[in-house]
Amino acid sequence: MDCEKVHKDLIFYIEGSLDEETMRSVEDHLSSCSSCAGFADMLRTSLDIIEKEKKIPEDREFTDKVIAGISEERKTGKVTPLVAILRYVAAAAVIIFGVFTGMNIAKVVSGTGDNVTGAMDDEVYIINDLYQEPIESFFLLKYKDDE
Amino acid sequence: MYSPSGDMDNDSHQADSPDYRLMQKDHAYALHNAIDSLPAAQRTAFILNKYDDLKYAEIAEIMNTSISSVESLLFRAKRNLQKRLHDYYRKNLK
Repeated sequence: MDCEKVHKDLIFYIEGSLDEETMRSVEDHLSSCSSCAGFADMLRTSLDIIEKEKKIPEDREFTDKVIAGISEERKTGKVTPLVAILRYVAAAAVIIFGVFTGMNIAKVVSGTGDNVTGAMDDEVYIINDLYQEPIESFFLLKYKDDE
Repeated sequence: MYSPSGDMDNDSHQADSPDYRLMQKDHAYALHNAIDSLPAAQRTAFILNKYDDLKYAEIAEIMNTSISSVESLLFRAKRNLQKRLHDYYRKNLK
């Protein structure tokens, strides 16, 4: 078998999909031809990369374990009635808290709340320095006092 | 005698060396380029077969073609891939 023929079938040889006789012929050639053997090595390395790049295969054992665990929990009834009731109570508390918080926020935004307006005005007064005594007036008053 | 399975012990010793990693990168680059340069139908059949491990019948269904067409596509894909990789190695890795 010559190099050209070997090169044509090399990928199939590496896959092991050639018939027995051709496999043996390629093998004999590779053992005596360093150039073709080198290429075979490189080709095999490249094809191995495909195997490495494949997605992580599904772990059947893990899936079975998880399903078995869930079934076991259902059978043993680990979730007691008290825990189930507490779950509903906690869910209701979260919803009520959310509703009241939302109502308060709405009051603040719309400015219709009784106490909210005053709080907002105070805040505006503190932030807005126009309500404070201008520095010019301060000096004028001071000047008059000195006179 | 040459063995298609390769020298695994030697490979495992080299696996951590920078040279080995660089070589793996080179091979991966060559492989990806070679796959990308395949005609669309061959590339699809090859990826479905090699990366997704689909059987010929499943590939035929996805590609809306016959099983014999898939066989032919894969045969040509592998031949072309081998040729492109050979050209790459001859140019770059000698």
